[in-house]
Amino acid sequence: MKLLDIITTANHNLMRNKTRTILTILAIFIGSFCIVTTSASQAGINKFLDDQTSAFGGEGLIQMYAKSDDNNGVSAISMGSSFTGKPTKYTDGDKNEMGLKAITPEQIEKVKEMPGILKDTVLDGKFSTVTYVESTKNGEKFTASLNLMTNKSVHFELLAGRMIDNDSSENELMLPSKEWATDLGYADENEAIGKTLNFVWSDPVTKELITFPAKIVGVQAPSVISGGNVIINTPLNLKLYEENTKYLPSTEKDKVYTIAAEYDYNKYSADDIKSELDKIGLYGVDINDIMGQVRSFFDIIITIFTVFGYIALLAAVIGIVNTLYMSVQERTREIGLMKALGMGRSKIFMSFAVEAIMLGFWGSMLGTVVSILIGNLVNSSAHASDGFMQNFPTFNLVEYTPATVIPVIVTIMIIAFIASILPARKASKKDPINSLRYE
Amino acid sequence: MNKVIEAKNLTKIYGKKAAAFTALKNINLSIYEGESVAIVGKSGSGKSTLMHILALLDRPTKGEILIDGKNASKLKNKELNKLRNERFGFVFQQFFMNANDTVLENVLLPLKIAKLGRKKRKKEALEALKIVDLESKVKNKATDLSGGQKQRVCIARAIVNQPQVIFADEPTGNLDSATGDKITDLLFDLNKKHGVTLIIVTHDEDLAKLCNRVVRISDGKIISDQTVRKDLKKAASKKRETEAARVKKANERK
Ligand SMILES: Nc1ncnc2c1ncn2[C@@H]1O[C@H](COP(=O)(O)OP(=O)(O)O)[C@@H](O)[C@H]1O
Ligand SMILES: [Mg+2]
Repeated sequence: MKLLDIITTANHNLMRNKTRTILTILAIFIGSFCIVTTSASQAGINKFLDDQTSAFGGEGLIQMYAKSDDNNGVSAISMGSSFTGKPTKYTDGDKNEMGLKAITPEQIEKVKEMPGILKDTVLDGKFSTVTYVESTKNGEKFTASLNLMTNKSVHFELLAGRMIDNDSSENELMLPSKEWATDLGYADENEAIGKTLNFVWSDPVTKELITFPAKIVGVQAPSVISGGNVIINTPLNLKLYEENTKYLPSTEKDKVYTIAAEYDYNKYSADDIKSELDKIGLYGVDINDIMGQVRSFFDIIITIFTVFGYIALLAAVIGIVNTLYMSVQERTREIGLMKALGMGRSKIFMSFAVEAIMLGFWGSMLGTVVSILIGNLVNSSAHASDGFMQNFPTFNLVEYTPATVIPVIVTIMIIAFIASILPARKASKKDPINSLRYE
Repeated sequence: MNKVIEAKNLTKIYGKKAAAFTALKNINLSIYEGESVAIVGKSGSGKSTLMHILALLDRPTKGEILIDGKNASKLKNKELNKLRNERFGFVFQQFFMNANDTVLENVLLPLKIAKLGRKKRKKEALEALKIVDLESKVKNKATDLSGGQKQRVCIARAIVNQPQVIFADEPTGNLDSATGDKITDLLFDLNKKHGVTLIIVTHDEDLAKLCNRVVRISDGKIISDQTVRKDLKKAASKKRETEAARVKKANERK
């Protein structure tokens, strides 16, 4: 028999016992649906987290804080609250403080000499704060936590405009989200580009309001790490910092609370660097500390689904074995006839194996198609104006690519083939005489 | 005259040790081209066993089968399969058809196994169905046919590959006498008009009488072997013509 004939015959045989075939395919469908959906959401989440990682500065960037008894470092990075991307209104009297222990100049020098640290990348961050920001369009006031683009390799996903330029002489900023643009009184993120936002510092002694106008050059897509923070360029930061520290004694003035640096991540692990930092009284936070929590949360969900998928597949395998054994039993006479008419053992084996592979193929195709349909539905409803992912328009919960889908289908077809080996062997070994005598 | 199949000292033992049963004892038999041979005997005498061994469906415990003078026991399974597929046709008492397939599908099965293309095998299956006068039932399911029609489909399947030998095991056993006669006519027509060698296993003396040679077996032994009529020469020359046609056709397929 030709291969094409074997395949058509196999499909034909599957159609003979529709109920049994459908039930077996259903079991494969459930398993493949779970696995395809999980690998697609894993792909979606990984893409999202990778985007977030590059917003932080990516691999090889470490932020350092002075060790003290009452902070744990992670508090320095605002997470969670920034998920909403919605600005908070300023009411008079709100404070905005960092509350961190300072890093000494000696410590900074030591960091610069530390093995693995790329000396030129060490940034002694002077982070400024602002009392509130004020829209030049509708006059609304909002509290704002400020952040810097500490590193050239940092990449922010933008909805509109461009990245801030640290070398510019103008004051520049990027808004954290689309909501910021609308709350500032603009129709959308595009209209906000090129407009001015006032940064207002209330002098703690004179109570005088000092205003720094700055240009909105970009609007960010929300992100886990930088989301919620207004990103300002170096000139604006230094001007604000000057005001922030105006009344501090000169010893306090130059105090640095956090520094960032790049390290050679091809040769050193983040842990190597952290243990070195520990020796000089600093602790380091790298991307994995932040991403780790997020990832492990998703990993648990994904593991549960994958395990469920494979259990369903295991049940499907038993289903395939059972279906084929029944089929071999029912078709004993047919097998005998085919052998009598000159069909070889290997072809008999193949015809049953192909039947199983077809079951695997149809089941996994069905699982994939349904998963894609549901996945796209979930994606679009999550992005809808009241969806829970509305603030992350660039993030797909589930991401289908041939690279995630095809291996699953192929694997299931291989598993189906393996499941068919015993029954197919049994069929191929049947003696034509006994098979024809079988009543 | 050409020997098509020769059996030398055939012994077939089923089972082992205490359960061993000798179904055939020292059988020597030569089948010649163009013959119609009846293998007659009581139920359980070993007729079917002998036929299966002659048809290369089973291997003997002792002794050998020569096909065209070549020892078949030395052949590999693959070669045996090919030999059966190309040279033999089978008709069984219980018909043995794929009940849910159409008549056409059933008839072209040997050609499908022989890897013939779709168009060719359909064409040849239709020709075979014409010979058994069942062209009108081509699209019917095999289950929907009467017993006589089923056996005609089986004959069409047996002749579709232009075989040299047709083995028929109790071909009329499940049919009433009128339908049985029609089947018998068809088989002997093939023998006389197309020179196909016929080997018919039967316990029906009337059917045996129609053959030109009757081999009687009892308890696994040949007790008589009579060539009743000598009109073989005619059949043999006919056979040579059709054999030439068969070879031509086989070459065309390649
Ligand atoms: N596979 C087998 N195992 C054991 N005994 C068998 C087997 N096949 C046939 N026999 C025995 O061999 C004898 C001959 O069987 P068979 O050739 O079918 O007889 P017939 O066709 O003449 O009725 C019977 O007694 C039968 O029981
Ligand atoms: Mg019998």
